Parts: sequence; C-alpha cells; structure tokens
Amino acid sequence: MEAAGVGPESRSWSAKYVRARLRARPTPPVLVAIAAAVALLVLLPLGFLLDQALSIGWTQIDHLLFRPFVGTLLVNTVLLVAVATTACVVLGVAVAWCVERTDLPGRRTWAVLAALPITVPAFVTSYSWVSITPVVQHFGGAAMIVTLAYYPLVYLPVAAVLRGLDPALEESARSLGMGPWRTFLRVTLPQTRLALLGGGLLVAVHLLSEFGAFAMLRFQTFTTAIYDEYRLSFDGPAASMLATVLVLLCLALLIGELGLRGRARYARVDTGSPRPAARARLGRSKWVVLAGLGALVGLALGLPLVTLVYWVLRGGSTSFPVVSLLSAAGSSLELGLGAALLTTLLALPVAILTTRHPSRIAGALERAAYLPYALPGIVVALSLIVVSVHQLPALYGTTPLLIVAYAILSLPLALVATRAALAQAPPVHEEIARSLGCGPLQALVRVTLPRILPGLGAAAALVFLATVTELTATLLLAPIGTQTLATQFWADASTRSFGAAAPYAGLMVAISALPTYLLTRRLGAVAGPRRAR
Amino acid sequence: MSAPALSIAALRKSFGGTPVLTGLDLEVANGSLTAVLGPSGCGKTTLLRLIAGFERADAGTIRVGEQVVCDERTYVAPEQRGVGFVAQEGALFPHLDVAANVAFGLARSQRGSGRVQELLELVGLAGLAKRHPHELSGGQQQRVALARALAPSPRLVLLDEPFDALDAGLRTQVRAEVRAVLRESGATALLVTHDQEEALSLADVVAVMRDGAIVQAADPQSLYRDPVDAELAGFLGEAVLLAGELHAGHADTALGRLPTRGANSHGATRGSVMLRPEQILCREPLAGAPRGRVLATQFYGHDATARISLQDPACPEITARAAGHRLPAVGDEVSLVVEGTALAYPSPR
Amino acid sequence: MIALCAGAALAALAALASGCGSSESSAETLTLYSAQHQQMTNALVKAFERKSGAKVRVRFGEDEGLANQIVQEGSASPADVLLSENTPPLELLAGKGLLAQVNSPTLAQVPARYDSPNGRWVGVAARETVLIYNPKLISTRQLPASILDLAKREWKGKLAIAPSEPDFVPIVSAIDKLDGRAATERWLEGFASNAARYDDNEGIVAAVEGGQVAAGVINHYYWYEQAKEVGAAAVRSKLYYFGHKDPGALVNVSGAGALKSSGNPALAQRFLAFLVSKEGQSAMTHSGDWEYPLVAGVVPPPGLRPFATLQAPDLGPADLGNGSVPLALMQQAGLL
Repeated sequence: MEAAGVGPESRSWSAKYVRARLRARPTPPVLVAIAAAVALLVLLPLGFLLDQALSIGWTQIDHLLFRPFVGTLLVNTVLLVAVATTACVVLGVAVAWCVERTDLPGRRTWAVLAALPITVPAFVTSYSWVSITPVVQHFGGAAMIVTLAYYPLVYLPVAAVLRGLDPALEESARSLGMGPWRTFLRVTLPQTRLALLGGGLLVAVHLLSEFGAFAMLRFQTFTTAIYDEYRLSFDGPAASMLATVLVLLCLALLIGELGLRGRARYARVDTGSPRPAARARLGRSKWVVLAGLGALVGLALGLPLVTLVYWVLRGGSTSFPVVSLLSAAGSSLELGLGAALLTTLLALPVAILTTRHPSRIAGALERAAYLPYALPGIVVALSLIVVSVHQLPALYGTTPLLIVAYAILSLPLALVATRAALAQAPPVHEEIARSLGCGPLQALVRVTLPRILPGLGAAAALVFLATVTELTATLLLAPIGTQTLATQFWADASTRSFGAAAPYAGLMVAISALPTYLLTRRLGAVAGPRRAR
Repeated sequence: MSAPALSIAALRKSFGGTPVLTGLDLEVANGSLTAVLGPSGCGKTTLLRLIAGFERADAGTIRVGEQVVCDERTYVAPEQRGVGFVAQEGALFPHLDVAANVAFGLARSQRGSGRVQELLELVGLAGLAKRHPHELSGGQQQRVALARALAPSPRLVLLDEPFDALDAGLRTQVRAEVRAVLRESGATALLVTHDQEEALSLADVVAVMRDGAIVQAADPQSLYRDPVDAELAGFLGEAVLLAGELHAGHADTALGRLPTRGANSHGATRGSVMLRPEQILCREPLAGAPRGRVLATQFYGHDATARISLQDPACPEITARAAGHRLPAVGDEVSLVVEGTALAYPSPR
Repeated sequence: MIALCAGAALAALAALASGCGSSESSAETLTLYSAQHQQMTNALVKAFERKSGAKVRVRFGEDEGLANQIVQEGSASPADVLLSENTPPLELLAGKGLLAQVNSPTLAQVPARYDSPNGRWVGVAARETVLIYNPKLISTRQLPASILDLAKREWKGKLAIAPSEPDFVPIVSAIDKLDGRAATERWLEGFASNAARYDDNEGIVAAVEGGQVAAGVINHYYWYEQAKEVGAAAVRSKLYYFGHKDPGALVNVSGAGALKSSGNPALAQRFLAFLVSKEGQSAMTHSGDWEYPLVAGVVPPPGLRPFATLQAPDLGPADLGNGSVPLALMQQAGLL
C-alpha cells in the first residue's frame, strides 16, 4: 500500500495530526463497556490470588512463603531463567547475524530451519531428550533444552531487524576507521536493541510459565511445585501462595518489557531500505559456521523429530491407538476452534478502541489485556476452578470454562495480531468511502472488513495453534472424559510410556508446525507465538 | 447569477482547547480551481474535513451550491453532500483493482457503463484498469484517486496536499496533468497546500490562510503583486522591504525616489515599500543612481540572486535578481535601477 | 480467505473425529473419580460396562487431589464413586461425612481389616511397600533391616524419594504411629537429605534401573510392570521386602466409596459390589496390574510373593488417618 517515494516528514506529521484528531472524537460508550468487560475477565485470576491472600492471613502466608523450600524454588527458577535467557539472546543474535549478514551458503534454507524449533512444543522436546537418556535431568540439561526450544523467539525479531538495516550506518562507521568487530558491537548491535530486549523478555516470561518441559526434566520450578500442590491439595493455600510469587516475577518482567519497548512494539520493521547491505565474507570460517548451525538445528529440531518417529515406529507398550488418537485429535481441534473464535471476538473491541479511539481509558484497558502474558496457565486454571466451584457451579467442569481459560491465556496474542490487522485499514479509507456515497455501515463492510479479515484470520489461527498445544490449563480444566492430544501425550509421557506418547506428540507437531511457522514469520515475530506448556 | 460552488462563513473549530479555525470565510466559484495556501499545521486539512463532513464545526455556515450542509441546526452526512475527497496519499482501496476503485462511488447500474473507462482515459491511465494499487507509482495512484473522486460527478472536489507525497521530480508533471484533468472535466476543485509555488502556478484563485482565517484571496498575479501586508509579501516569495517617507504617488527610500501604488488612506508619512528582487536591476555604475557593493551571489542556473550592501544604515542589505549570464561578481560596485512601482505599506498611527 | 476455508475444513474434521470417539448416552451414567492407574481402571470400567450396560465416565487424578476436589466441589460434585490408591483420601471424605454407607453384602466380601471401620468404603486391592534396589550398586549385605535406616548417613546420595507421590503418605503415617513424632521428623529430614527427588514411583524405578540411584521405596507392582515391559531376563533391579512388621512392610489398601451427593446412589452401590465381586477382581488381576486382590479365592497375578507371607505391621486405616499429618510433616521437612 506504500506509495513510491513517500516523504517521511509529511507522513509523521500527518500521523500526529490524525492521532490528535482521533483523541478529540467522542468514544462510543458501548465499545468502552465491552472492552472493560474483557479487561475484567482477564483480571479475574489476579483477583482470585488477592482474595486468597487476604483470606489466608499473614501468619499462614509467612509460614507458607518464607521457608527453605520456596527459597530453593526461587533460586532454581531465577537462575534457570537468567542463564537460559542469556543463552537464547546470544544464540539468537549469532544465528541471525550468520543468516542475514554473511554470505553463508544455503542462507534461505538455514533461515527457515533456524526458526522451526519454535514450532515443536518445549514439553515434546524435553520428552524426546528424556526418552533417550535421563542424563539431562538437572540444571544444565534443563537450561540447554529450553534454550534450544526458545531461541527462535530472539532469532526471529533480530533477524528481521538485521534484514532491514540501513547499510549507510555501518559504512559510515567503517569509513571513520572502525574495524568489523567494533562496527558490529557499536553500530549494528545497538540497532537490534529493541528486538533483543523484546525477544529476551518474551523468552523469560515463557520460561517462568513453562511447566511440561521442566516436569519431564525433573527440574523443580514454581510451576512444577504449584502443580504438585494441586495434585495433593487441589486448591490449598500453598498453591496460591506459590502462584502469587510466580505472578509477581512475571509482572516484574512484563513491566520491564512494556517500559523498554513501549510504542516501538507496533512499529513495523521497515523493509524498504533502498539498498541491501553488503554481506560479510566468511571465507574458511564458513565451515565452522555451517557445522555450528548444523549442530544447532540437529539438536533443536532434528533430535525431537527423529525421536518421535523412532518411538512411533517402535510402538512401545501399546498398539497404535487409532480410536483414542482420533478422539483426542477431535477434541483438540474443537477446543482450538472454540478458543480461536472467542479470543478473536474478545480482542476485536479492545483493538478497535485503542486504534480508532485512543484515550487514557483505552490505553489502560489495553495494558490490562496484556496481563495474561504474566499469568501462567496453571494460575489461570486454578483461579477459574475456584471461582466456578464456589460461584458458578453450572460452569464448573464444562467445556466453555476451558475455552474461557484459553481465551484469557491467548488474548495478548490475538490482540497484537488484531491490531496489526486494523492497521491495514486506516480510518481515512472509510471516510473516502463515505465521501463517495456510502453510509457508515456500508463503508465498514465494503472497505474495512475485506482488509481486516485476513489479519483476523491470522489472529484466530495463532490462537488455534497455541490452544492445540496447550497443556497445563487443559490438565486442570478439561471436562471428565475429554482428552486432548496434549493431555493424552502427558498421561503417557509422565509415566514414561514413551512409545505410547509418541503418536499424540507426532500429531500435535504435524498439525501445528507449518502454520505456526508461516504465521510467525508473517507477523514479523512481534507476537510471542505460543504458550506451549 | 448562480450560487458559488462553495460558500463558507465565519467557520470555527477547536480541538481540545486549541482553536484551529477562527472565523474563516471563503467562496469558491463554479468551475474554478481554488488553492488554500498556508504553512503546515495551520488547519487546512481541518477545513477540508469540515467541508467534506468528516468533522463537525463548532460554529459557522458551510454551503455547497444552494444547499446548507452545516450550520447551528443542520449537519448533512458526508455521503449526502456530493463532495469528493482526494487524500494526501491517495488512499486507494488496496483490495480492489483500479477499475473497481474508480467505480466505487457509482451506483450499481452505472458501474458497467463506460464511465470508468472515460475517467481512466481522462487521467491518462486507460490501460491500467486491472492493476492493483500497489502495482502503481505514486503519481499514478494520485491520478486514480482523482478519477475515483470525479466518477460520481461531485459538486466539489477537495484535494488535501495531493502532491506532497510525490518525489520532487514528479511533482511538476503530475500537477500539470491534474490541472488539465480538472479543467477538462469542468469540476470545481479546492486544493490545500503549503507550497506557494504550487498554489501560484496551479490555481485560479489563491486564498492564503493564517491563524485560522483567510488573510487574502485573489488570483495569483494580483496576490503576488499586491499582498495585503508585509508578512504575506514575505510568505509568497522573496520581498525587499525598504523603510521610507511616503508621499502621494511616490516614496523616498534608500534606493531613491520610487513610484508607489497602494492607497494611503491614513495619510501617513512614514511606512515601508515592498519590491520584488526581480524589479531591482544591477547595472554598471552610473552617476545619479543609487549604488551598492555586491556581498555575495547565488547562481541557480536559469537565474541568480545577488546580496547587495547599500551605504544606508537604515537598510543595510537588499537582494536583487539577475539573469544567469548577467550576474555581477562579488565585490563589484553596481548601480541599482528599479523597474515598475513599489507597494506602499503605511505604518499605522 | 484461505484462512476461512482452512478453518471450515478443520471444523468439519473435528466434528467427524470426535464423532468417532463418542457413543450414545442413552444408558445410565456413572462418574468415577479414579486415583488408580489407567490400565487397571479401564479394565474394571470396561468389564462393568459390559455387565451392567451402564456407561462410566472417568476423571483420573491422584489421591489427595481428587479427595480435596470432591470436598471443594461440595454438593455440585459430579462424582459418584471415588476409587483411591491408598486409604487416607477415603478417610478424609468419611471424616467429613461425604461418603454413603456401603451395602453390607459388599463389605462382607473382603476381610474387615481392609474395609472402612465405619463401613463407608470397601477395600478393593492391596499393595506392599518394598525397597527396589540395583544389585550392582548395593550388595545384599548392605540392605537395611528397617526402613528407618534409610535416614542414616551411609545412605547419602544413594536414594530416590518421591514426596508428591500419594503412595508415600501412608508410609509416613505408619512411622509416625509406630515410632512417634520425633522419630518421624528425624527420619524425614534424614531421608530428604540422602535422597534425590523424583516426581513419582515410575521415575524412581527408571532411576534405579538406569543406575542413577541405588535404591528407593515404592509399591511392589511398579517393579513387576517394569519386568513385564523389558522382559524378566533384562530387568536389572531387584525387590527387597522389609518384613518383620517393620513400617517398611506396610500394606496399602486401595479402596472405593460412594458419595452421598451422588446422583445415582443405586448404580454407585452396584459398582462397588462389582469391584469386590469375583468377576471384578478377576478383571483386575488380568489387566496387567500387579496388585493383590482382596477377595478370598481370587487367584493373584502370577509371580507375586504370597500375600500371607508379607509380615505387614498391624495398622488399620484408622491408624493411617486422612493424610493431613504426613503432608504437614513433609512441608515442615522442606519436601513440599
């Protein structure tokens, strides 16, 4: 849609003017009410935790929280998140640089392969490793495996930035006498700062909420401890206290992320640089790089896939469970579709409010809608269980409640995608349609809707994929007799029936891998692609 | 005499506490191309949006033809005003091809007829009906946007800085083409711009906007020759202002006695006169003519300007324009001859 | 557009696929909360469905979690029957008055010591606490005389523990009852510092088999499952029975009770009766689960040590309590 030769000053000036005009417009109260309802839904788990804390009383809280066990959990969790996030950042930058800024042979293939590990849920990756050897079941192994699983969250945005970089900056630095390393460190790297920070914080938040991978690796973190408490006491105070600490950790990270990225979150990466940057020549070191990349992709992607195939073929303890597989797949698909629909519907009013009628209230509601990034699946599930058991028994244990949990968890994902979709349909188009004789509704249907439908479809698809691979909330909230691919996989994998678990994992990966990859690239990897637990 | 295509009286609009339009009056005659000229941020786009109906005015009246579309009691919705709009970046609908874009405002029955083809030929894009907007250049997109706005034969077409988003090199050409299209279609057009060259070269009437109101509206030549005050003179082009004693029909200035035009209704004796640099000619030193020394020159190829220092402390420097091949060298002493009359601005008492 | 078509195709597929798995719900339905293993539960459920024509929905979970869930759900609970792995959860529910009286003929099917003291639940199967060990890492002479020895220093780094495994809870209760609170606390602390932590008994078995640890405390049937999986010749670990009425020789009873809030009390009682009938017990022993049947005259799975020779301590369900004490002790010791 970009006209050739756009003048940057006029664009930014008119954008500011548009925003000023938009703010002056009266906000339709219905829209605000709906968006507020969505925000309230999302705040429910936090309210639950607060309520629990208040009803438990300080002495109990003190007794439950300030003990050595929680200290161990804290150290484990924080240390692992710090180490793995750093590793992901370093790895992501290195891979991005090799693929985008050097003359690596087979670059296009490597670019795809390097991003693919994000399509395999982390709990499947750790299952593959554990089924081969229990050696990885400690801190080092856990750190390595989650790094392999999550580094694409840093690689994708950094690669996008490097792709669109203006070569003039580096060329100026070189002409001023800076060698290639110094240029990289002082000129190139700072430009990727936002992508780095955003990706790194995303990795950290995912790690804090990760359950399945750590459980398989026998690595105790807050999420595994909360799940253990749930197994033992269903909704006892210990579980909610641990959950509170976890949520506080996540919130701290989230506030950091929002503060550092702010509005830059929505800046589209400018791929319209006039000249492609010169690529560094690798020379002999290209063999080293190729070997490194090969090892990375082999470990992160090849190993899980090959292991899955091996276990499916070998069969293990049971014969191939066709009926159970189809039934679980059917449940996964149904739930995924339901979640996709509900989440997109919930995200739309919030997105419309913030893009077409920006105001303080709109901004606050939107920030609330991003809160689920800080809510692990287990916390959302626990809170919905307690609320429904005590207040809404009709909903307790039903499929709609599970879908509501999915909607809460995936709302930020859908919101980012929906905002991107709405950005494709600026209000000026509707105004011109009106000047050409369309009434307001007609203009919406003829001009805006065709533009945003593909983007809304992408949002829905992302939610669908995240839901198909969701584990923790499903474990807690699935109605009796409902099994999804993820829960069936977990039932087998956690009792070490690796062969029985493989077909479910295989089907999950088969369904979600390619679409996840395509959609993540399409959205420029700004959205965190999954909440696989 | 039929009503003007557009008539605005005492239009006011504020955003938040900030007043943008402060009592604006404007008339646009049928079939003319009027340019509203003003610096960026002065409210020109707001004016257009009020005329189109995308915003509501705080006070004032807007008439399109005979119909009152906006006053204290009335507000006519945009789709019923018959006012076309060409946005700054064209804003073609990306999901429709060129033909569908142009046909958008036509009634269903009319879409199949030759009107679309007719308009595409008018804007010189006859073969591009099946293309999509992203396949067109900036200039082509603007022309399609114009065709789209003209398709339902609107009473008035509004253009919001339509050439601003184009490369400088393209601008002149696209301007001329758009001008031709508007003339040929007989449409009445109102264009806003901050580029004085654009306004002066394109429009039949130029209305200059300042502080939310129209300061002066006239044809380009009259406007350039007789701007209503010194500030406007400087806005429209280079102006040389000389302080002087005003008498009937002439003034005494640092460049000698100059014949003046412009009414001196106050009967003031002090004031300033305005000359355009092209009125001041550099000659070999002559006796009796005012003298100056060339401080610096700027060569533009087709013409040039020279900054000349006068010995008069009241007016230390002036600018003179010269043809490229007649430019004096820096440091030369020249005599200055004034062609034509100067415009007198009496000082208020 | 493509996304919409794909979405529609997926919807059709989903409807089709889920149709494969479900059946008509015109029959009576029993909702079973089962803490027992899937294999055994499914075998019992299938046999019951065949015999009675009713349909059974199962929610799987773990002992304490399911019991607490039932308590929280209150009268809105959909559960009709709870089938547990150990007795504490049943005692918890009985103590809160949530279990219905079991029909006397059903109770009479198993020896009284394996039933609820108040007739609120019936025993279904029994499991023996054992020590699984890797003979390459421990010689027979080093095997402990009592489970209390595992807290001693010489066992440091050699043990595996699964504190969140429900099977562990009655063991702690047994030690508490037989040797007193102080000894239990010391034992827990010692054991915790000696042992590596695992999620569940399957994890302990795998670790001992793989040689990561030398020994762990489990229930007997996990080893038999492992032996079946890899073949008797290939299994590396061995079982050691404490005997001598040591707390480490505790027999854990797996039982079932019907809930008062059940929507179909008659069907619930029929299910309980089925569990302790010859057919039910036989279905259990043939399901690939290696637990001891409690009904006289039912042949246990082959290869098990005879039930009568186990020398278990004389502790009944009342002695083992409802699990709140062990949980608190484990929290205190930093295990949970």
